[in-house]
Amino acid sequence: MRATEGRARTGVLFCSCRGELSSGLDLGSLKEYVRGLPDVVLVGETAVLCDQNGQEELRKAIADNRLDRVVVAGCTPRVYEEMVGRALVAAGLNRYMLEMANLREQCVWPHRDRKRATGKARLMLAAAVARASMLEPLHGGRIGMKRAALVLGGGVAGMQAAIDLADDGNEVHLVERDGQLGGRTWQLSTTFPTHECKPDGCCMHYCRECILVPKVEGVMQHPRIRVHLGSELLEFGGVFGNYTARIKEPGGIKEVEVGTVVLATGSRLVDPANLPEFGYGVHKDVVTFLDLERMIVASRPGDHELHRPSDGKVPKVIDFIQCVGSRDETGRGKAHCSLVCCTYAIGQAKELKRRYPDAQVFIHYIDLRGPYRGFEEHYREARDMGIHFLRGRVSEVAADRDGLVVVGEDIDTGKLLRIRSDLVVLSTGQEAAPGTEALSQVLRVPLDGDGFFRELNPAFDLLERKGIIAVGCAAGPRGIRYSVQDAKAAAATLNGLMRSGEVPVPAERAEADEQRCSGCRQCESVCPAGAIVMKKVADRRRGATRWVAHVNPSQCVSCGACAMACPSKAILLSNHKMKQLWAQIEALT
Amino acid sequence: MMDAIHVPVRDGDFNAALAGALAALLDRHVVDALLIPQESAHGTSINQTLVKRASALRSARPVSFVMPVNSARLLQLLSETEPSEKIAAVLRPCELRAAVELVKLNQIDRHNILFIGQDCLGTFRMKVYDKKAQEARKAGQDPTASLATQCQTMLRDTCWACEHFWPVEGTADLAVLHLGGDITKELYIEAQTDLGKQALKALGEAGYGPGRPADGRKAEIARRTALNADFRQKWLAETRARMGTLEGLLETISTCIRCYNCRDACPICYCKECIFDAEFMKPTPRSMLGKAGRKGLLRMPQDTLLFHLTRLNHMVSSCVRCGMCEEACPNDLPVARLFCSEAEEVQKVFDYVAGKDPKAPLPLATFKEKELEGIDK
Amino acid sequence: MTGFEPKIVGFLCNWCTYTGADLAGVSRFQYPPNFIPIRVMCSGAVDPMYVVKALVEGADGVLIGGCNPGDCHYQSGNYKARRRATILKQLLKDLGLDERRLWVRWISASEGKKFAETVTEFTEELRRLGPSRFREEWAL
Repeated sequence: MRATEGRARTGVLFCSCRGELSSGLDLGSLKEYVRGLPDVVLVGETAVLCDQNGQEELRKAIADNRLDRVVVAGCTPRVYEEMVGRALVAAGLNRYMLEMANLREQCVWPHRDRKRATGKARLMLAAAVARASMLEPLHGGRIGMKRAALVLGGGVAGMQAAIDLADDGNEVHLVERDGQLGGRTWQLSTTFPTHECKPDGCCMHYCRECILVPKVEGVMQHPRIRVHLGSELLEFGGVFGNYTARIKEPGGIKEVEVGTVVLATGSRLVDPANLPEFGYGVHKDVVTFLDLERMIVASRPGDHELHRPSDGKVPKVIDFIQCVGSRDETGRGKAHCSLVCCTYAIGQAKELKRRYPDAQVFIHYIDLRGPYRGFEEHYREARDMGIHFLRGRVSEVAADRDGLVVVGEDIDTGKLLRIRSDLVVLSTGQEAAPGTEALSQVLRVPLDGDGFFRELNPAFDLLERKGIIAVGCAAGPRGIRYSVQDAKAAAATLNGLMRSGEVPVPAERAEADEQRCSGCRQCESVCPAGAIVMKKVADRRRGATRWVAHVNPSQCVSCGACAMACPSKAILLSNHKMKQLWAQIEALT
Repeated sequence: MMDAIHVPVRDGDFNAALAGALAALLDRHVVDALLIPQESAHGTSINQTLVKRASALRSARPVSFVMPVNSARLLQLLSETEPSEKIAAVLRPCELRAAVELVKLNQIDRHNILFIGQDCLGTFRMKVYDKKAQEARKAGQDPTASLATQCQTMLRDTCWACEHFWPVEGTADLAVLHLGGDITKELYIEAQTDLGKQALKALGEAGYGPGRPADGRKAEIARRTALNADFRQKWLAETRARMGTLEGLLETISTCIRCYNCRDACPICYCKECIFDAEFMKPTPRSMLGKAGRKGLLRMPQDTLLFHLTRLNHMVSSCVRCGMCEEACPNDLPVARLFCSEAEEVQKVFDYVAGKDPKAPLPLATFKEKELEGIDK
Repeated sequence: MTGFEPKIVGFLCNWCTYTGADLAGVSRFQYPPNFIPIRVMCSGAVDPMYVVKALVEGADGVLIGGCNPGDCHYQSGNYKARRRATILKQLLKDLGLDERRLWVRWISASEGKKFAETVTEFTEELRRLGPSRFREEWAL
C-alpha cells in the first residue's frame, strides 16, 4: 500500500452486486487504479454488501485495517447510504465517514459499453476517494421540546386533534376564529352515508348530533385544553420543539410556548357570485348547498316543510348544479375537484325526494365522483327514487316572468335543456380558507398548486416538517370522515414525538464559523426554514462584540442555501463542505 | 423647518464655506464627529479624516478631486462594533452608493451615521492629481479651487462614465448641491430625510438662511449625463470587444500578480475573511503537480482567472462603479472596466441599480417565483 | 472534431435530478458515459464558483440539475439557483467563455427518460462545440 500523508486511512470496498458490477466493469483494472490513489490503504471486493455476511465483511475490514473512512463502490447512496452507514457504526466509526460511488445506477446500468463505463468509473472513484479524504465525523444531538401543542382551528379536525393530543398528556392551545367550536359541521343537517339518524346499521355517527355536541363539550371541559375563542394567531416564532405563539384574544394578547402545531384551519366555500351565470344573489331561489342545509335544519322545529326564499312556496322542481367553482377552466373558480359535492348533493336530493315524492329533482353533473365506500349504493338508491341525473353543463340560470329557467345540455341524449325550476341548488366547491397564504409564510409550510397546505406523505420524516402538520380541509377538500381520520393520525404522530420530550438535532445541518462570519445576514435572508438568527459574540481579536450568524440546529433542513449565499463560506453544510466539493471537482477534471 | 439652506462663499473659497457650515454640526452637538476630507499637511494628498474638534477643520477639502479610498470602507470600519457616537460622513456619490449597499449588507450601521452626500465634479488618478496640485501650488493657487473652475479632461475613466454624479434622492440625509450654479459664490445644502431636516435646523440656528438649488441644475445634470453616456457607451463597447473572447480576457488578466489590492480597495468586498484566503483554497503540492502533469505545464500561482470570476460572481450585483479597484492595481489591469461592464449587464437583468434605492432588496437575497424562465432552454 | 469525447460534470440535486438519474439507470435508459455526477443537496446550494472551477479545470460542459420550479424539496432552492446561474451565464457570455457550456435543467425524480435524453443532447451539443479551450490553456 502507498504511504499516505498521515491524514487518513481509506478503505475502498467494491460490491460486485452479485456480478452486476463485475460484468459491466473491468473491476480488476479499477481496483489497481484505486490502489494508487492517495490515502487508500485497503482495496477489497465482496459479492453482496447488503446482506448480513456482506455487512460483517465490511465491519471486519474496518476493524482489521484500522480504517477511519470507507468508500463503497456499488449502488446508489440515495437508497443504501443509511444501511451501509450502520455497518460503519457497528465497527465503531462515525456513520458519516462513508462515501458511496454510484457505479450501479449511474454507471453500469446506463452504459452498456464496458470499456467506456470503466473509464467513467475511474473518474467517479477518484472523486469519491478525494471526497472521502475530506470527510469529518458528524454528530447529531437532542434538545428538549415542550410537551405542548398549538391547534389552529376548532372544526371537527381541530377538535379531534386537540382531544387526542390532550389525552396523551400534552397541553393544548386550541385557537378558533369564531365565537364557537364546530366549524362548518354545525350547519350540516345530516351526513353521508345514511343521511338520517340510524343509531345502528351502517351509520358512522358523523352527524352533528353524534359528533359535534359531545366533542365540543369534551374539548371545552378537558383539563389540558385551553380554548381561545374569537381568537387568531398574531405572531409565531422560535424553533422546532420550542415555538412561541402570540394569540390575539378578545381580551388582549396571550403568549404561549409549544413544541408542535396542528393546522386545522379548514377551507372556504367558493363564492358563487364569481360565476354570475348562475344568478346567485340575483335570483332569490338560487341557493348554495349550505343555504339548503340551513333551510332543512330550519324546517325541523317548524312545519317540516321546505319554503323557498322568494315566496315561501314548497318547491316542486329542484335542480342541483354540480361543480360550481370547481373543475373550472375559466379562471373564475378553482381548477381542482372538491371531492365531496357529488356525495353531498345526492344526499340532499334524496332528502328532498323523500319529503316530496312527487317533486322533480334533477342533478346536473359533469362526472360523478365519490371517494367513499357506500357511494355506489347511495347513487343507485337515488336513481331508484326517481332522481334524474343529467350529464352536461349548465350554461346559465335565467329568469322570466314565470320563474327560474335552468339552461343547459344533456350530453347523453344530445338535447339542449330548458328546465323551469322552483329552486336551484349550487354545489359550490371548496377553496383555501382566508389567511392560508399568510399562515404558510409565518409557519414556513408550503402550499400546493391549489393554495391549500401541501399534503405530505405521513410516512415521511416528521422531523422534516418541523412538527407542523396540516389536517382536514386545510390540506384540501374532504368530508368529515377523512378530516377526523387525518386529525387522529396527525395527533398520534405528534404524540409519539412529544412523548420522548426531545427533538433530535440532525447531524447533517448548517454550521456557522463565528470568527469568520461578517454579519452580513445574507444566509438569514435565504434560509427557507428560518433557522438562522443573529447572535452577539465577543470578537476576541477586536475586544468588542458584534453580530454573527447562528444556526438553530433543530430548525435547519440542510438545504445549503446559506452556504451558497455566503461569499466567504463562513457558514457551511456539515456533510457538504466546500473543501469536499472542491476535491471532487479537481478529481474529475 | 427648512428643507435647504444657502451657504454663501467668500473669496471663492467654497471648501472653507462648507467646512464652516459642517463645523456647526459639531459645535451644536448634532454629531460627535465628522468624517471629512482634508488636505495633508505634507504633500498634495487629500484624505478622509475623523474630526472631533471644529478647530481641526482648517484644511478641510470636502469638495476635492481625488479619492484615495472609497469612504464606505471607512464607515464599515467605524460600524464594525456598534459606534456609540454620532458621526457625519461627507461622501461622494459613488461612496454614498457603496454605503447604501453596505447598509443592505449589514456592514454599516445606519443609525448613528449621518450621510452627507455631495455633487461630484470628478476625480483624477492620484499620480495625475499630484502633478496638477504641485503645478497649482507653484503658481500660488489652491489646487482644488483652481481645478474647480476649469474644464477638466484628464479625469478618471470611471468618472467620465459615471451615471449618477449627484446624491440620489433618498439616499443621503444631507446633500451638498452646487451643479449648475457658481461654486465660487454659493452652495446649497438640502435635507433629504427627517434626520437631515433636524440637522439643518441646527444650521439654521447657526445663522444660515433658507435656500434652493441653482436654476441651472437640471440643465447641467442633463448636459453632463448626455456627455457621460456618450463616453460610457464607447468605453464599455471597447471593453466588451477587448474582453469578449477568451484570448482577450486572458490577455487582460495576464499581468495580474494576485496582490488582491482590487479586492481590498473595493468597498463592496466586505468579507472578514475572503474565500481566497481560506486554507483549503491553497492547493497542495500533490494537486499542483498532478495538474501540471495533465496539461504539461501550469501557471504559478494558479487560479487567477478563477479569482476574478469569483469576485465578479460575488459582488457584481452590488458594484457601484467607483473604480477604486483599478486605481489600486499596481499593474493597471482594466478591472474597473471589466466590473463596470458586467455590473451594468447583470444589474440590468434584475432591474436593479446598486446604491440607488435603499429599499430595493439585493438581487441575490431575493427571488420571484416566475422569472428568468428561459434558463433551462 | 472526430474522436473527441466531451467531459460533462453535473451537479445534481439529491431529491430530484440525482434520483431521476438513478431511475434512468434502473430503467436501463442508455446515455453517454461522458457525464459524471456530483451529488448536492439542492440546486440552490450550487455556488457558481463550483461551475467556474469545473470549467476552468477543463470540463467541456457543466450541468446543474434541480427540481422543477415550484417543486423544490426546500421550497425555493431552485429559484435561488436560477438567479445565480443567470448571473454566471451572463458573465460567461460577455467574457468569451461560452455560456452554452453551462446547462441548467429541471429534472424531477420521476423523469429518468428526460435525464437520459438531456445528457445525450448535451453531449451531442458539446461535440459540436468542440473541446473546452481550458484543456490546453495554462495561462489561467
